[in-house]
Amino acid sequence: MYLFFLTAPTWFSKLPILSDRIDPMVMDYVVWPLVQIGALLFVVLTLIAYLTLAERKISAWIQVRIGPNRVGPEGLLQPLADGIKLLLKEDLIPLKADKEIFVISPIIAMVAALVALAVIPWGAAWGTISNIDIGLLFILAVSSFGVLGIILGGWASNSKYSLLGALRSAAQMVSYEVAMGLALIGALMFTKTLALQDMVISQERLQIWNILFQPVGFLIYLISGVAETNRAPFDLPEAESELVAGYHTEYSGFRFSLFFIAEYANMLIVSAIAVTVFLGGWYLPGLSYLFAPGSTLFVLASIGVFGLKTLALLYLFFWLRWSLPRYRYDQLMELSWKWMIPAALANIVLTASFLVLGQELGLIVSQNNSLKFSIGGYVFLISTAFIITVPLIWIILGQINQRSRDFNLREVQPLPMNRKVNKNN
Amino acid sequence: MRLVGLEAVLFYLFAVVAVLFAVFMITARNAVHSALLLISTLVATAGLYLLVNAEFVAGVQILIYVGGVLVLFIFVIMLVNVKEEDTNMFTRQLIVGGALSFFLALGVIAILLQTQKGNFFTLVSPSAPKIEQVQSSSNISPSHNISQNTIKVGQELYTKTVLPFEIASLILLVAIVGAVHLARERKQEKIYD
Repeated sequence: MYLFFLTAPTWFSKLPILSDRIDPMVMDYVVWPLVQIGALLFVVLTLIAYLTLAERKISAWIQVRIGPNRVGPEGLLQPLADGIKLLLKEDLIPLKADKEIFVISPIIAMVAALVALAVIPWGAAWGTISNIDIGLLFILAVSSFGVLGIILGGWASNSKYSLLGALRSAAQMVSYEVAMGLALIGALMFTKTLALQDMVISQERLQIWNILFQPVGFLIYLISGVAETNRAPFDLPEAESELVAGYHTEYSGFRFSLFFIAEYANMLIVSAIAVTVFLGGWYLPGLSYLFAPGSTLFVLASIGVFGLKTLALLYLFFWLRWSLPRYRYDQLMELSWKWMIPAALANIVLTASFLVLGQELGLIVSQNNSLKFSIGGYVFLISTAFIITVPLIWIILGQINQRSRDFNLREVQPLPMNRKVNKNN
Repeated sequence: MRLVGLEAVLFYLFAVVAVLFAVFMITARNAVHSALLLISTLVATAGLYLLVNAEFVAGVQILIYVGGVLVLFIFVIMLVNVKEEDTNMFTRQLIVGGALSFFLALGVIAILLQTQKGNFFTLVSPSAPKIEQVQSSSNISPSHNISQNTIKVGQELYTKTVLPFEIASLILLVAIVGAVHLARERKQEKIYD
């Protein structure tokens, strides 16, 4: 069996009490990962609790209100109060609900969200828990598992609002998963690996962030990410004004909070993947000059860099939610199938062509499954990405979609008089 | 089959889960329960793939079957709103089904005996590597600590098996075009024209 866990730092494997009694192998591959997992879960769950507070504070700030400020100084203990309130609420299961599935679906949603945290490269060297060969594929697979929790929860509630919310979210997530996967392929051509830690290392080696090569891919990934996590402006599965609360209408107390935690954890994962694949992960130019690479300080700094980038993207999520109105359902589907997926496909073709062209021109050298660029290569790839790929995709898609009544926002052209149209369609 | 330590435990766990849940899937009265149990079987199978170091296949198995196919299954089941089956489903075709499954079992056992010659009745063969030998040295940098499974799959797909790969994608394309054609009505097309 292959061992995917990264080794523990030397100070840990030489801890005075433990290292005498425990085999160093066990220390490296059992005790250290457990310590990491415990720390990660503690940090992430606390972060999620405070993200709810951040969301309320940011929404208040955007709407020129004050926000929660009663519990603790500046409302800082609000998440604790919310948590206790949710725990003490009555746990309701509707009479005609399918009990087993009703109970198991929030667990599925939560587990799928938390399992994906295991492979994210939180920092350099020992800052990461595991680095598996199929990292990105693993994340996509596990997050597609999360859809099941939502659909089954909505179905098991035996309520019309829940079922409608579940159906909407299933269609939405299946549609945007395609665009999401395709958007990542362009970046994979530069990193040449699916292992997430290796993706960061390859960006460190090239000393660049992939977003400069892949502006279109990043944009598509970000939009699909917002849709995947059911956030506004794509929060149709839980549209308050239409469906009460969508798939979790019938859930109360702790089961509801499991869904809630899963949603915020999914946001965190989407941001973390965007940071890893497009924004250089824990790599920051100049970081290796400040601290010696591999030292404890360097690893801690890399974790900090990763955290800051992720929080910046999370802020974008909140910002979007409180700035944009909700899409209509047909607009949502058209955005995915008529704009995002064709744009992602065109991006793959154009990126591959420019990479091959660069190799023919001698600007890019590919060896040992990694790329090497000359300065001309950087200029060539970045300029083609921004000057050719972005406008070309924009123009072509605009031309193609001009005929379809995209988003139905433009004035609807009156149909020719001699054609009879069935109004039901 | 060489099964040592934790690998053996995981193998039997996944295998038993896969088979048991497959049986539960067939006997479940509710279509959604069946779908959920089928998912468990598929995930257990993905675990078995992981045990033979086929990470890519395991990932794709979950991504395609659980994330794609089964979600659509459940979607359809919800849309058509299948009622619970009250009658016993095992009264029809009992003899034919029994005979078929008997021959299937015979075939599986025959193949197992053929491929597992010698190893079939001894769980741990003497030539099995010790765990210490399998474990890599801890000094290797992270990028070399992992298997190169995905790269191998990609290289095979695009060099030796290009033709089957392309044929498979063409078949899928035909299916998509056919589905769009079936779903679109004449009236709708007239409106869009």
